[in-house]
Amino acid sequence: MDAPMLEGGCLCGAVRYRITGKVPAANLCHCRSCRMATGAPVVGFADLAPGQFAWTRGEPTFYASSPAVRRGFCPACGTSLTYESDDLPGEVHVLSATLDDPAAVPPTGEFFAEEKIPWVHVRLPGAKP
Amino acid sequence: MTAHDGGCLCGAVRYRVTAQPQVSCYCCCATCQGASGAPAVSWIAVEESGFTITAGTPVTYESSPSVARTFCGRCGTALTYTNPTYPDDRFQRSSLIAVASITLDDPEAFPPTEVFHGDELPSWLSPHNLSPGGRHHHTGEPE
Repeated sequence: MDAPMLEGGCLCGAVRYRITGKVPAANLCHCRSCRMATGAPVVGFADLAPGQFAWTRGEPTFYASSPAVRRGFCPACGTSLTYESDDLPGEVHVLSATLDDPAAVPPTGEFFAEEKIPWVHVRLPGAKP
Repeated sequence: MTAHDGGCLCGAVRYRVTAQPQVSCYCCCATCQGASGAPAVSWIAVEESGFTITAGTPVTYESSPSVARTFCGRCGTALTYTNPTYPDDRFQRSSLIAVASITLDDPEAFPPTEVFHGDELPSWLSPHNLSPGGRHHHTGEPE
């Protein structure tokens, strides 16, 4: 049986990627660096294991938001696409709103909740009201 | 009004807002999601005369014929949105520029009071959860 596959890319289509296999985890991140990288108050991630991610079209620009971290975005339209950290070797964390089906990977947890903007209200699937 | 400064993640692009926001909203449209990489963007819209770039030059991308989005070419932060044809009389009455409010040095300064295109959120994120009590409108075509 073929492994499940997800595809996505930036707004203008210059940069595309492919995810192979089941997405092991998905989370929201509230940290300032993720907020600033995107310009959005909360960010969703598909958190992949090594070997699951491949760029399939174009080349992103990478920005080191801290010495161990590189963030990929499209140089033509600015879409933030990926997060990688030396602390998580081989892992690629994909901004899930850039999937062709942005609803495909519902987050089940939240990172850096202590940095959450007070007026951001999210309720994850299965959470109590 | 007090000036509000802001800028991108790496600091290459800085701006100043000197006008009172006329709109403070979430936009959940597919294009805002695509431009940011996140499920929803919080915007404040101010008179263009009340917005100044104070350092650097952002890159402009036209996501539709009348829509200009800017971002930092060095670190990718989405910064502004302009669309003189946006179907909201506040945008058509005057020349407004929308600024991604999370990029303000005080990102909490302007809590969104409205939600645009809430029906385009991924199904795991309800617009009513996102902005309890907010006004919901413009759920037609993405801009």
